[in-house]
Amino acid sequence: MMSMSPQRTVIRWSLRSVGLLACYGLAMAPALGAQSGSAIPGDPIAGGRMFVARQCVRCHSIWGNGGTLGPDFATVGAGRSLQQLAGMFWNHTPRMMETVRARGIDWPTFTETELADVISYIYYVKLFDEPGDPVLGERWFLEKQCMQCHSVGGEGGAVGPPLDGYARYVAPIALSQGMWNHGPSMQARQVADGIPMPTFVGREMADVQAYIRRTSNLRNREVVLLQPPNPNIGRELFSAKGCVRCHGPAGKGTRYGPNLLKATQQLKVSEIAGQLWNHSAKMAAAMRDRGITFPQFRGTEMADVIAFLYYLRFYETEGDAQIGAVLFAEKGCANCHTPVDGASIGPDLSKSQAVLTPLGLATAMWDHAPAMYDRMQSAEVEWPRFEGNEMRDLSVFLRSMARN
Amino acid sequence: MSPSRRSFLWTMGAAATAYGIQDTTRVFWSPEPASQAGWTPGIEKHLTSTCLVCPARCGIRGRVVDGSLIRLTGNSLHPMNRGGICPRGVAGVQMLYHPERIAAPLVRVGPRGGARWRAVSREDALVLLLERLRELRSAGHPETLALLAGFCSGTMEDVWRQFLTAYGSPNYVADDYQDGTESVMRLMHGIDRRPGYDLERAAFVLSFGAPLFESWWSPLQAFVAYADPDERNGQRPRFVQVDTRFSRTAAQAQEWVGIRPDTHGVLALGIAYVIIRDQLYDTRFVADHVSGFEDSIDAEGHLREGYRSMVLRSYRTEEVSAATGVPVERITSLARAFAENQPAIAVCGMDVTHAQRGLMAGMAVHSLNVLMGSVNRPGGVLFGQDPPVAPLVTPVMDDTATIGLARGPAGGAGPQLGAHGAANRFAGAVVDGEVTVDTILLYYSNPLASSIHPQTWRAALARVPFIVSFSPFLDETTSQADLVLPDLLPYERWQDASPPASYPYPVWGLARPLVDPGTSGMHSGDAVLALARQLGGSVAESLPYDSFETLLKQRARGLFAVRRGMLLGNAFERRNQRRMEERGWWLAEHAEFEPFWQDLVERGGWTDPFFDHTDPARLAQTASGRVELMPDAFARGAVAAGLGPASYLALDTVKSAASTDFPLRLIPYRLSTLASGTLALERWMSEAPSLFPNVHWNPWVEVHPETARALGFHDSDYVWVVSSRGRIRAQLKVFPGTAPDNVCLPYGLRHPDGALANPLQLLDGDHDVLSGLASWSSTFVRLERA
Repeated sequence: MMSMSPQRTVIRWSLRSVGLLACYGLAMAPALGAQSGSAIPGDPIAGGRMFVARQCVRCHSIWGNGGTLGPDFATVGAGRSLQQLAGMFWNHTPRMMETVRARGIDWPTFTETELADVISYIYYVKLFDEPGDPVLGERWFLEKQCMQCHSVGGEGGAVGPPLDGYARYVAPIALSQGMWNHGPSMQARQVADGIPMPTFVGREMADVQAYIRRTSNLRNREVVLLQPPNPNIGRELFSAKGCVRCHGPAGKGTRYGPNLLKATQQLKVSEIAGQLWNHSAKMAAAMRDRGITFPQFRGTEMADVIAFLYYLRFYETEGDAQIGAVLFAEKGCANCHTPVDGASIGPDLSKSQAVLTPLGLATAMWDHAPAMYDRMQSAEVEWPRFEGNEMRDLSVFLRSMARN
Repeated sequence: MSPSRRSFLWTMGAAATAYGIQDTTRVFWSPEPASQAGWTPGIEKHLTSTCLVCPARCGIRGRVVDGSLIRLTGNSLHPMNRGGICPRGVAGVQMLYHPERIAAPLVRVGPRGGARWRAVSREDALVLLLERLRELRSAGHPETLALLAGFCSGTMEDVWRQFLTAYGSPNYVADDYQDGTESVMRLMHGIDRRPGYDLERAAFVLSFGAPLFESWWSPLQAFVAYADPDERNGQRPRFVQVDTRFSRTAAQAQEWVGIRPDTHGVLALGIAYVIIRDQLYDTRFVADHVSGFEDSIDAEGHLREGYRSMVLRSYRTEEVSAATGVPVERITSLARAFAENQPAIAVCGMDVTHAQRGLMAGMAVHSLNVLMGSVNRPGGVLFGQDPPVAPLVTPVMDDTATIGLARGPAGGAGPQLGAHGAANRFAGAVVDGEVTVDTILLYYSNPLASSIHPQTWRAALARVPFIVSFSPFLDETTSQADLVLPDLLPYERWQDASPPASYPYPVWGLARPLVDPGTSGMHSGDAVLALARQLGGSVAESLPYDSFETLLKQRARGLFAVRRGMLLGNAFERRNQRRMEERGWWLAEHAEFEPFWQDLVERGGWTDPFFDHTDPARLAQTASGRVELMPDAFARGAVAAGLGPASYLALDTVKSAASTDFPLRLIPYRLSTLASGTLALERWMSEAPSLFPNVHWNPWVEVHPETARALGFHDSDYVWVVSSRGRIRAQLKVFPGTAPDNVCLPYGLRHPDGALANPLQLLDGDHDVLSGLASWSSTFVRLERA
């Protein structure tokens, strides 16, 4: 018999608090643990631990769970890339600084890897749908004429199979996957019967799933909960299922298929699934033309692919160095780091190793924020803010400066 | 007078000298090193477990120093009690080291009840019982073995039942806590399970006589919802207590509604009247999921009055007010508050169902939940599920077992609509000679102290040749035993322990030894497994487990494999898990079983904070698939019981049976500190304040000041409370929270000399013919000076 040590408690708690990340831990943690050799920087499992261990949870929450002083990371920053999130962190530094100091909390510092982990975690949690609205789902089910072919709860058409069985799933991805797999035959029937092809936007797919669960006759359900999607497995599936043949290795598009990066901004699992469905008829036709077998998904494969697509935008290394140069001047960075006259207050960034990667820059800025804040306060300099892609462009500029 | 320089110096010098002497003594005292004396500084551990003292089954943490249990606190990771613990839980330390604990298995010497015993080894005690059991099976009468089980749940109950089944006895006789609400649910929902109450997600809790903050199924569940709800952004529900006396729960609630005894159901229907009249009910839920609301034509073409018509016709607020004593305005405001503060829950307490028309009253109370759709939704009444542990092996029955089981349980099946009172029926059947019982096993049951009919039990036990008790203490019934195999205390044994059904989310709590059990007793679970092993054959095949600990570990494999839920965790973890599962995702925290088990032991159990509110089977399993407001089975049962085609409660339910001889109505109630009355040895709990901080040690009777004055009694006078069945002595407590025509007595207390003061033994024997539950509030008494 052993007692539970506080340290172990924290670790357990951290693990639990980022429950959604365990799939990584089991399957792909090594691949996600480092930036090199992986499409996705940062290990969200470790990021989740960090989220608790560095006391982020005292002020911030995930899905309304946690502190209320700062914003909920599951709702703010949706669709933002790593560098945009880093910029957001930076913008809130003054308020955070005052808060943590008032509460006697040490300013949390991160290594490059740790910051990547935390940001990856924050990015990842937004992927998951909130439960849909069954009332809206009923409306979509009628308006999109699903009911003409399918029944739920004993009401509806008999052209397609009853959908009651999907009630054992909570997440809409199983329904989406079923629709995808049967897409060509459904679409052929719809064309033959003159039924317009339904499309799904926003959370409609989640709403329909909620409606099916509420209305289904399936009794004594053994609810099936799915392992959270794994973008690295998704990346492999993206290749194995032949998606790359039209959309290219990183989903950046070829002459046969569009760049998927833009299509997967600010989207959750069901939203991306809806997008896939909306384009599935066109894709099926294009595949037929090229002699490609329409891919079928099993288990959580579609969710994994969606996670991969979701992460496409996460790590951007490209940007506009010229805009970055202007920002460097306009935001006042140059005043401290490369002053025209007088002694340099901050380090010369053209010689800094920290700016060689976007994560390095973000980490350096974060960790040195207290010193910079104090210095700027005493000099009565306004705290610069980075909006949109400004952090990305600044990073590109600094990298180019350092290389030169 | 200021001190002179001389006196100041003298004083300082004296003080310094005194200190020096003291210090010198300390410094020069030179014992042998402690380690050479066989003593080393204490090693401190904090271990999680589960409290087994009452049915709440709270998570606990024990502080253990040098192998001794020093202190018990609540396990903050447990989702139900979240670090809270009640006085009984804290007092477990005293129980563990109780000087009257039985030190070894005992064999009776001399006549029964003569208090002469011979200590034997555990092995010898088991052999004595084993030989008896072998004889019964060899004689072809395994059914003459009976088990009288007090509160027993989880794997221990499963093991007992499996053992009896394989052995061939149908006589698992439950002598446990009953509130009759499972009968209400069976009738209205077709679900044979006590309701769960999602208190912490409710906005409004209307308790009908449920002692939520004192001796309910789990007071800690209510306290957590009251003080620290996980959800609703920390907004607390509003508690309203409908009660016959100003109870501790009434004091804790935001509002107390005093009511005449046995009229809770009438008040509920008066509230329903306002809700229906003002069209405040959930019309969609009623239309989609409820039967019996509207009038209908039955198969024979007769008009059947529906709930709506019945309520509007018979339960107008004026008449309800006259019956219940609750003003019309209060009924109206309660109804509106209940309807407008959703989700709201009406909780049915024991005061409601332990009455002559208790089943009807219970249905009336629950009908409020149905009207508002507060069933199977967050913040409402939920039908929980048991934790998905791995099942025991399928029992194997040889011919002897098959024949024994076919002879049926002693005492019969009981009332049609509620299988309550099984223990008393069993005792009656034994006394009447309807059945022969050769050997009775007593497992946490002490009917000579706790039963309403101790005389019947005394007579029944006299007809049983061999009585075996597993009690660790020589309580009243154990004193009559022939063999005592004392169980280990809860802090010495392995056991699983799930919270009661009132907590709707599945929890598998694990009790494990906090201290070395020593050699005084034997885990009853291990004793049963050993008996099965040594009986051999099909009995052994039915319980092929080396020990209770390994059995529990085996069962935990079900939790490991189920792919949902979590090991116990803090508030952040629980909420995170709930949100994940609500989104349809689940993580595997452990890839292998062994670390899972170790972590489970360390954290104290497993839970699943997710509830699937969409499964129709969790709303109704009736033939119609709908919730029945006017169940046919109830009408048939009422006719069969001679009540006629009863439709809920007649307004004249409360017929006062007061007489000149017995002018005062007796209201027994349970205390938080001594809820069951079976653990009479917890004497120190008499020090704990109940509602009255200045009343200790002596049983008391609460009397209204005017009543006391009229009878010529003063506070603290000793009186006899006399009914037609007997009398008990108590100290009078003048209390304006008791109605003038009632006297209230707590249940479970004793006098300092150990004499029992059980008010249930004054009851007149009335009961609900439909459910079988005894009526607790239909007895009238008088007070005499003691």
